[in-house]
Amino acid sequence: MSLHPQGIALLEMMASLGGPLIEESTPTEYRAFQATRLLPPTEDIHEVRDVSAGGVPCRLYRPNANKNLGLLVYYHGGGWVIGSLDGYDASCRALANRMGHAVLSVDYRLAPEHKYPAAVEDALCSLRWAYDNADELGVDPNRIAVGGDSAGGNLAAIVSQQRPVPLVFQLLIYPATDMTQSRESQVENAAGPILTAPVMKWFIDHYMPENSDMRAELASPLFSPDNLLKGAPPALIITAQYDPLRDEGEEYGRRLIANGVATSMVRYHGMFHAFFGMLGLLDDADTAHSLAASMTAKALNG
Amino acid sequence: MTLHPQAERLIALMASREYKGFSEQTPQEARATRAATDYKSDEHVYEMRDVNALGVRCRLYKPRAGNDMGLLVFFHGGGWVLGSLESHDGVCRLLANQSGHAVLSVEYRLAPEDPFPAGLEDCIRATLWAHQNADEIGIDPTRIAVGGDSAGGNLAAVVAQLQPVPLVFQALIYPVTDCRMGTESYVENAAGPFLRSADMAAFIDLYISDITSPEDPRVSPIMASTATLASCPPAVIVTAGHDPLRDEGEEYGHALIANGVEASIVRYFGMFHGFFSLFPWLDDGKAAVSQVSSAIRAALASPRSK
Repeated sequence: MSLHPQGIALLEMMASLGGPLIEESTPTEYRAFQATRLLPPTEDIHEVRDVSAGGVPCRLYRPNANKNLGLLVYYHGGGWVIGSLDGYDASCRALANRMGHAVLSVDYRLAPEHKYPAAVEDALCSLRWAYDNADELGVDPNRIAVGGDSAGGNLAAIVSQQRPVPLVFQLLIYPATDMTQSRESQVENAAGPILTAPVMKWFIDHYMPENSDMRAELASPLFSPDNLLKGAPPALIITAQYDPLRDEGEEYGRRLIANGVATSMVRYHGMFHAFFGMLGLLDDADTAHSLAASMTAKALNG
Repeated sequence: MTLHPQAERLIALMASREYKGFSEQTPQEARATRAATDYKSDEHVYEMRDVNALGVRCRLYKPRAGNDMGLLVFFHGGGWVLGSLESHDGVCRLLANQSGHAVLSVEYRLAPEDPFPAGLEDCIRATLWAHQNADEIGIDPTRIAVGGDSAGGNLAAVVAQLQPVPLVFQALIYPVTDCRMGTESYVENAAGPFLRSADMAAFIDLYISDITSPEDPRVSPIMASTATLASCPPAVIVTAGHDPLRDEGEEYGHALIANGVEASIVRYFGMFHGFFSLFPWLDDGKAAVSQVSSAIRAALASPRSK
């Protein structure tokens, strides 16, 4: 493995700080631990406010006073079990500022308290609400994109297939697209870093009810029929070399392309799962935000 | 892996204009063909002026007033045979504006009229000049980076190894790092699009034939000793999925990492050689320019603002 030296240093630092193993914790314990590891806000932004999107708590980020911005609806990562608006605050600020468009970060319900498909329902509900309430948000309802990382990338890919409202772009950061966990990179990177096979199993076991169809279209967008992929919005898929989810992300990109969707696929070599969120700690996180913001903004500019 | 639809359309457009491969033209014809399609940028830059850098013609781009910025010394691509300040004017404007640092684009001598090491010498001279004249240019001599695409990435990687002045960063866009032409991507992408393996063979022949071996690290930086690799500045390396040069760019990045150098390696799967400077037509090109500018912005940031 040839990890980026900054990645090695960061992983060593995290190891030295200690902390519980996800797969040996309860969801409540791990969420509490994560809340102690929040980084302070990295940058100022014109406006931040919490809103209720049809009952789903969300946070709106606006980079300027323009009343006709495009909007990125963002679903955070965390295996459908952990993750929060606060944990993605820095990322959403950076995306909004660099795009020059608004971001709506969605606090969808988490498992195991709320199992599949609760998260998908909230993802769809908040998106519909944003479309219906575009005026109040100061955005153009015809210039909405969705995005997310990891489990949030799973939700963004699914809503891009379901399309309850018109979408102009989907930003998928190392998305989970295959609940059957059967790609080569799952084996190759079973020991991580960060996302390991036991952690992935812990996530899926908490999220998916027993005896679920792991290939259902609201769970594994990779297996959806062609007609759901055709007409999906243009996509950017960012993957990391040392990530169990690498292959399913890239495979999903190939399926989108095969169905005529303009899809850009970018792989960060030397990086691992969750690198995108490590703004201020990894230079690659910074450049990946610029790359993602550039391409999403191009679509939101109309 | 298939091409991005925007890339497919651009390739089809080039084909409809009977775009000829490099190896089917004389260098002079190829230069004229390329120059006719140079992209005229309307991106406004605070200051642009041509300068004489110890006899090497260069163009300086400054994104703002002041003398507190870093500098990217940029070497254009074109197989050591083609390309000019004009061919990369648009990309240099964006790099300056988006990174917030100055850019010095270098018009080094081209083969076959001036084969190796003339071009490399010019790149070194321009870099030395920038360091010696930092006050006059209005940059911090301790914050100089090199960069380039394709053959320019090769020159940047070699200059970063030779370090004629202290360098803090290198930006290598689908660089040539291995003139032995033996990687898998050479076979996979032998027919291009845009850059074909035969074109690379012709370029390498014009640049180094009978002068030096493809194993000389001054033309194949991947052949450098581990001590040299370990001494290199941090790097960002961008590669394209459909490019004969894909593997050697990524292998060079992994060689840097193996020797403790911070190298970020990013592959754009659906793209082909040249996509970075074709940013006016390709969203991936625009995104890559943003990504690289972001890396340069951070690498050249003043110690105070870091």
